[in-house]
Amino acid sequence: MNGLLEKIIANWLDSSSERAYQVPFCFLLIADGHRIIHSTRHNALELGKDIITTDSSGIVCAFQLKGNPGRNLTISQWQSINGQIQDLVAGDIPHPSVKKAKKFRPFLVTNGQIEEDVCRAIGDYNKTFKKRYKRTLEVMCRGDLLEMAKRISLTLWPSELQDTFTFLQLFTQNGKDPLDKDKFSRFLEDVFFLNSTEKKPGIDLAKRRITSGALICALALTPFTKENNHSSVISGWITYIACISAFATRWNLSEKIYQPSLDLAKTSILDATSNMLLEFNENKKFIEGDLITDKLYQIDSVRATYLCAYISILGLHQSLNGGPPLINEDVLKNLFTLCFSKITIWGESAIPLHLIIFWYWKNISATQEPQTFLTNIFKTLVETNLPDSKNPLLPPYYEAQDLIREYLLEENSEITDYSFAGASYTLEALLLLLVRYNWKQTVKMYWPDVTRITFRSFEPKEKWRYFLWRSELGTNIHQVPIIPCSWEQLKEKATKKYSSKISKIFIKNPVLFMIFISSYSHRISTDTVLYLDDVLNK
Amino acid sequence: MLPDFYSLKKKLLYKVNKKLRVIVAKESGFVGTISKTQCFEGHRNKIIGSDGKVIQDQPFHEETSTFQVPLPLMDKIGPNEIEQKLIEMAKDMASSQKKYFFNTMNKLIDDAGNSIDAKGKKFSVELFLKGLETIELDFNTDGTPHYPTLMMHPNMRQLAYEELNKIEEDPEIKKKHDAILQRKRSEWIIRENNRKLVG
Repeated sequence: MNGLLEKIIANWLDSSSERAYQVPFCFLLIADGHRIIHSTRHNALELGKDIITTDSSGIVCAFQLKGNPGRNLTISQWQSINGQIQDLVAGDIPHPSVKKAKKFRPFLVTNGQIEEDVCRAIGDYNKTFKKRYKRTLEVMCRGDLLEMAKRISLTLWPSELQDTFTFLQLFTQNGKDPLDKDKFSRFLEDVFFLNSTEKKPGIDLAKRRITSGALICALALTPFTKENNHSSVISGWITYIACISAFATRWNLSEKIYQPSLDLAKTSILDATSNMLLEFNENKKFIEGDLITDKLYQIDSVRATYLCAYISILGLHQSLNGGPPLINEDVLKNLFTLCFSKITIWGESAIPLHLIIFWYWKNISATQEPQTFLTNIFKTLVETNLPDSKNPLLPPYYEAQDLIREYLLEENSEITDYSFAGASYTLEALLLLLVRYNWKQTVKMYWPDVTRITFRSFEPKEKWRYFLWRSELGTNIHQVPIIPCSWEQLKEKATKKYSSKISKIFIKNPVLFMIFISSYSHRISTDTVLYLDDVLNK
Repeated sequence: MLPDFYSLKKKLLYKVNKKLRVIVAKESGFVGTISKTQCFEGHRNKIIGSDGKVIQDQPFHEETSTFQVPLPLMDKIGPNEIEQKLIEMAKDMASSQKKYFFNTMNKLIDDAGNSIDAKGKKFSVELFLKGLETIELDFNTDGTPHYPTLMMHPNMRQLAYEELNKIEEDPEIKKKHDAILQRKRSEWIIRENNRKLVG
């Protein structure tokens, strides 16, 4: 295997906490033929086993993970986890999907090395375990994890990782920055061969690409994981989900092949989201890094908007999926109220976040306030994007960092070469939402101005290209609003069912869909918004 | 490889390109004043009108312009010569851009049935009024018309001024012109009224 890449994997193992290597370890297990039954969220309801799987022979395996980045598992640590080990080996597997398994394999996993006296202690324990429970504690340490990673990487990287240089750039970037989604997505899209004309891969190759893509994603996110830059980690896993979705859609892969990886990536995202919100909950301050630029350029408001959207995603996930919450509902609501007071719109890339906020607020509030909020967004968009406007809201292809770069730093300022007034990517969706909620007077009042704004959208040439960060092939649509038009015509459009236009991957998982458009904001469309509104209103 | 400043030169080239775009816009005359919008992905554009009909559906069109420096001259030319070549290239780009614009517009106008064949006659106020009849005219909120831009050869400018002055000087022509404006104003009012949401 490429020596450099082996060093990178070793470096990643040596710097990852237990939580940081948990999900990539799950992907290594999937690559080894395991089926993941449970992966702990480290919440109040823990099962005592971090990961539960069935291996390729159907035997249940239970894993207890410990984080020892760059260190050894010492005898004192061993003594402190004795109770957990006892529980791991002796206890049942209390999971509804697993019948009372008398025979299962318990594993202690560490990303460090194990000291000699610990090895001896484990040996002694195993003598007792074997007599009493007919099973012994198995151990996986740094070397074993490295071997597993090498096994799935060996046939992939030397021949298929074409952009090692880009990978190195990603691996060494400043972890405090937002993820360079353009670079990251192109890199991951290459790993999945999405920008080439290859033949349909066989099942084994498809599975290998999906699992090694996850490992590569985890490695490339190392700088951000180290800095606890949760939002960049979230963006990275969203990009991975987009790539699997593109790959699966392109080759019409069976759900069995990609669903476990999709679910794991979603778990990573939700975990990172809750970690970020718990961190915010500790001091409830919107400042990060230096106060001066945060306040002068209102970056704290941009941050508040993202936080509010993440709170909303988590809240809606907990509401839709039930189960033990990652964050207490009341805590979420308090954080929501705090963040909401500071939210802002910097461009159309903020609109998906505002919509997510709207859906959550509607979920938790019986008042008309959420709809008034939606109306205000609509009015702002109409007023700022009229044809003679000097400061239109920029298209959703421009994210907050692009605006900082272009307007404030004036680096490569292409924006001034173009005129974005008189057009909008999100206005039609907002308009039809207001029609759905029967805001007839507002729509009627603003309709003459709406007719002066072209509805813009993008239709990729093939369905799978929807998941690409940028698709080379596709049609840019510029639709002038139909005139004359009636309220009834708008109502018909607003109440249509749009599920046939939505990918089956997202139909099964509306929370994943919301997560996707929070990062790929340019993929918001009228179909997307009305479909999500349908689902979230049920 | 000889000593170089690769990344910095990329930024400098970006600045050069920006300057060239300004020259192209200036040399393109009226065409250069038309607002540009950005397409961020894809390979085609589709424009759908307010009646739901497709006005245009076609792939992107690439315009290119090049200049060459023969190898023997490579060491002899200096910054002034390169700048001159770049300006020529920008003018060439402007010229082909204008050509493409007018070819496209002419096709669209012909397809819409809005073209008038002057059959070789010179520009006249009558021709102008005939053209005014065929187009949609918008009005400002104070009631004044938002006249279209007339595109013609610079040599025609004097003749055009003389002819268009007849609208104020010649009562018959003024009457005809005002009648057209009245009709156009009514059409505009109908169009604006159609912007109301009924029901």
